[in-house]
Amino acid sequence: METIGASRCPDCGLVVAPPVRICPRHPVEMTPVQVSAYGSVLSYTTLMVAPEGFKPPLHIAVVELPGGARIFCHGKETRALRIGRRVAI
Amino acid sequence: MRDVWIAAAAMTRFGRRSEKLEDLIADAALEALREADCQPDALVVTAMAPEEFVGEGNFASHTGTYLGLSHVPAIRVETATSSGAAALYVGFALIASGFHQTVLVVGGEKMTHVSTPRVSEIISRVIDPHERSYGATMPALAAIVARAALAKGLITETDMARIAVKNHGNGARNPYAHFQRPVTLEQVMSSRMIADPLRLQHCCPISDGAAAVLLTSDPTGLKLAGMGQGSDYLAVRYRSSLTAFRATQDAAKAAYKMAGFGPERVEVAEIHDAFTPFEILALEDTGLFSPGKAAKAAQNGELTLEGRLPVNPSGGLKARGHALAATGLAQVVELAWQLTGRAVGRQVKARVGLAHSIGGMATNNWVTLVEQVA
Repeated sequence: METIGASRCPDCGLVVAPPVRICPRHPVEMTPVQVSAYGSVLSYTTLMVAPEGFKPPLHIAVVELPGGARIFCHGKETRALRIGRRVAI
Repeated sequence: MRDVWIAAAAMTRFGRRSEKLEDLIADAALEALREADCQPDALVVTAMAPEEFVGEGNFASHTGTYLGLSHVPAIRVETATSSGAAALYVGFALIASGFHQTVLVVGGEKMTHVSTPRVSEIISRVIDPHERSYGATMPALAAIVARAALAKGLITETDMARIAVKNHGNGARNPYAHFQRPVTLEQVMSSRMIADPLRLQHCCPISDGAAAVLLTSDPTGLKLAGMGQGSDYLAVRYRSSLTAFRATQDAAKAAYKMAGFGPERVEVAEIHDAFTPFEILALEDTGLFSPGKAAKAAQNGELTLEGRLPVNPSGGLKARGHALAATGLAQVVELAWQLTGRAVGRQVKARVGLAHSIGGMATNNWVTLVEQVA
């Protein structure tokens, strides 16, 4: 199964991706972990006005991975996308 | 803690202005000083990105010297798009603590001379670097919030458009507004798509402008009754909810606690509608409406100038405009004018007003309560 790098807080258990040094909830150093790269879509948009370095239409989604980490990713299109849909990032 | 009072409030018209930033700031500042006929013993200055937009640094001293106030302490405050509200908070604290007696809080932004892609890039720097690396702009993050709110049934696309229609209607009656013309529901719902589901007419404009509020320890009748701040993660992906802003909820709670009254006393509100769905979400996060009730209130006309709770009589960020660091102060200027019967053309009947300001994607938010006690 494909995985991506993430961080887990040894105190509160929060998992975030991509990895960070310190837990966003409190000043505690995080532990590196791997999490599944398959998750469900929380929300998404298609940008018709893209910032410098990107070409519209730009599809951006927020995906929640097993363990609770959420990550931004690009999609080929969003026409068939629905909130809650399972995707590979 | 001492009570803090508003001695004067002034602003320039927002919009595409040809004056330089220093002169916009001076127009607002000098008008406030003339109105109160007194001199400040401290200056709080705010501009979100003068280094990038106009190439000036050391901006507190720069402004102090330009205004002829180089002999008093000058401090610059910056919290992204809520900088004006944050500057007011610092001014409030300087007086409440007894450090100073009269504080001029002034903010401005000048952006329209810069190309729109460049302005967007500069504003986008307020976003978390990982999220920005995927091309996330402020409209993109707002669209992600709006999409989640639509899916939850908190708002509809018609609700999002209805807010724009209402706020443009108010802006059309405000001589200080960037846009002084109404728009129709059809125009909003057929305007070009920016970040699906947000269309151009759901988004606030890029505006120039300045606003100033003069604070004093001497009772004036117009009391800064409460100020509260709320924080959230810079990263939108760390938050447990995409559709409720903890930073607004915490700011509102703190402001009500300081004021000693709750949302039931608020009779007019200036809300940070940088994107129209935010007005509906903020009305619930501030406790002005129960969860799930704000969209219905908009549908029933309760938020209009004649309604039960007029919201954004100035036109809001959508129509009055959004001159970044000036905006949080312009909201309080509008409340000061509304509570003292000087909001010509758009006057409502109110003794207590609430201003709500969002910094970044709701990472550093403020709620301010102004009360007419005389």
